[in-house]
Amino acid sequence: MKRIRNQLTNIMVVIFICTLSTIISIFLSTNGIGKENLLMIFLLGVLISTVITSGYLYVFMTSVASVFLFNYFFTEPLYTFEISDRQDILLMSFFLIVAFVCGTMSSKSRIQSRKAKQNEKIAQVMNEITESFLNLSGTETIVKNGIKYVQKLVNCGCRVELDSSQFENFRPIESEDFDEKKILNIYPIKGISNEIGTILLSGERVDSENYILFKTVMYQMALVLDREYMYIERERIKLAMESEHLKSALLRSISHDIRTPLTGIIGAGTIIRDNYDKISEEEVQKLAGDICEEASWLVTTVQNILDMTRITDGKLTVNTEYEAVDDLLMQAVSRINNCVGKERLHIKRPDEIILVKVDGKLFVQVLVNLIDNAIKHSGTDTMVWLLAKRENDNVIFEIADDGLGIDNNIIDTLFGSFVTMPAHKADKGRGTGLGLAICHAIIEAHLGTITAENRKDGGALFRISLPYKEDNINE
Amino acid sequence: MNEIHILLVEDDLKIINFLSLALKTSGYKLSVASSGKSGIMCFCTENPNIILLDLGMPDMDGIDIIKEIRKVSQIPILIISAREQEADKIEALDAGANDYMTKPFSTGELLARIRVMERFIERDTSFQSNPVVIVGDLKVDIERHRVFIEEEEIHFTQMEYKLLILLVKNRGKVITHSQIKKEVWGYSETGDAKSIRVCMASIRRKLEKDSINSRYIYTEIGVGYRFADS
Repeated sequence: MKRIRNQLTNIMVVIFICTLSTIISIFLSTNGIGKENLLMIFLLGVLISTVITSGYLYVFMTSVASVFLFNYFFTEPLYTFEISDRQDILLMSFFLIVAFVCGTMSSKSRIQSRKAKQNEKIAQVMNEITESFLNLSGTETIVKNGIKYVQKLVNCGCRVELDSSQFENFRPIESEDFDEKKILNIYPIKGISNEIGTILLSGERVDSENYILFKTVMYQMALVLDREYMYIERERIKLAMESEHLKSALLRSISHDIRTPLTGIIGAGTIIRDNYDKISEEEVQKLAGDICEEASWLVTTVQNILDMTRITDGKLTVNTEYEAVDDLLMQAVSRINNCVGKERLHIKRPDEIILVKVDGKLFVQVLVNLIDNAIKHSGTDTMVWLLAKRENDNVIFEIADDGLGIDNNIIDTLFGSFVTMPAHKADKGRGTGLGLAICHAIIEAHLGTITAENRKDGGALFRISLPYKEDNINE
Repeated sequence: MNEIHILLVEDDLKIINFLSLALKTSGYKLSVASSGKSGIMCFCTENPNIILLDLGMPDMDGIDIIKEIRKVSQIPILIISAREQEADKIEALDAGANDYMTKPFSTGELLARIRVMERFIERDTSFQSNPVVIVGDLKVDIERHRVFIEEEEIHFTQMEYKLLILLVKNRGKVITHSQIKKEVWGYSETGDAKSIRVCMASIRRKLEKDSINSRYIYTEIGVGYRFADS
């Protein structure tokens, strides 16, 4: 359509120039100017046409038309296409040659300058593309920038898919005008060592000129994505090392504590099996009791280890769900019920029904750990309080006791590493020090905080604060 | 009721050893099957009263065993399994298991749960004739829609009442959240996790006024609820 219109305009220009040359020539010839000079007017017309029109064809058309017009209007016999003077033939032949040579030369120079302009434009765009990618970070931003340029330059719908093993959380991004039914071509995005992903183009066609630009975008994107991948990889390795470090530290700290009760169990079991008739019933009972006790302690420890295996990427992953605070307290208390000293525990539930978004099992584990700690480590005749309440935008859980309190030497590092409490020598319970580290990891994964302090009137206070949203009951 | 016959479907020899000792000394008649297929076979031929089922069988998955049995019978099934994820419990309970115990467990706890199952069987035969349920101080008159604690009537909203009745009718059995959603709310979207939690907490506050120590309703966090049996 555009080409036809372009052709029409050019033809109009040709007709216009020829008409104008003829009119001017007629005007001059009536004033007695010779036909050699008139031919100069026509030559001027041809030269002008080389500038205005595009292509040899129109110059050729103008020249031929000019010759015929000149022949018709100005050579003897007038108003015919016949030529009687030989000189006129020579004149017109020379005119044609000069017109062609001039036309070709000016046309050539025009094409060259057009090409130069185009090249400059391409160079500029390439430069712009390169610059636009330079300071980008984040896979999505990079891909979006690429898509933006593809859309702008190539005029095609575009969709980018990346290799999921390298960019884990990346979902394919596509431009609004991407149409899956009209996929034009699929291009691989090649990184340094392997293929990073693919670009899908949809639409009509890609010109060769635009194809170069498209390739530039693609290469730049590949380059920057490669850089991004290396960055991600480095971070991943760092995280993996950290979590590995955390895990191995935990395992080291508990492996000793696992061996001890196992030794006890095996020992007691062997004694009962081998010396059954030699030892008294009372002793058998005592040994069996020991086995039970050691085994149930092992169960708790194993549970803690299992919780730790849920640590990935340096932090715990939680599956949260709305739970009633009542339920959480009740579940924690029912778990404590099997322990010695549960009668020392006092609970106050909140005045209203509160829902809080937690991973129920893990959160109860935290409460149990803290209550268990309070009962075991605060002393023998202490009271332990568990209470939950809402304070503005937080749900607060407090576990307090009126016992010995926390040693000031360890209070700052309480949640950090694997601290066991040396404060109370009389304490016979075994401590792995794992409990608080786990509590801390779990509460952090809930975006909450856990703090420990000594109460003014004696005893320790652990306080958990979880974010609470006002609308979460009536939503 | 005559001697209770328990079918134990379990593949670990050590567990079989100690369970059969514990159950026989408590006066139960016991059959043991050590694979899923022989378990189903035993169920068909020996007509047991209660099934103890380990989910991890060598030849077939425990969930499929439950489904097979549930096609023909409502016999109480107690799951004993080392799988401790909530999702596993929910899957088994939704498939029709009555209760779920995670290994390791103590014999005392196991026997208590089995006693709950026994009462479940007795109730099954006498339920129709006696629609008044008494648990401790709590009296639920299902026919007249009335609930009393120590002769004092307690009022519930319609949803709370429906939920309470569901639990009371299935007392001793763990009812999962999805079962509650289906039975009480129907399939409407209002029965989401939050409404169940709120409804439950409010029932509990009405039933158990002062104490956090639950007497009637037990929570299995992330799984569901169980109503006390006695």
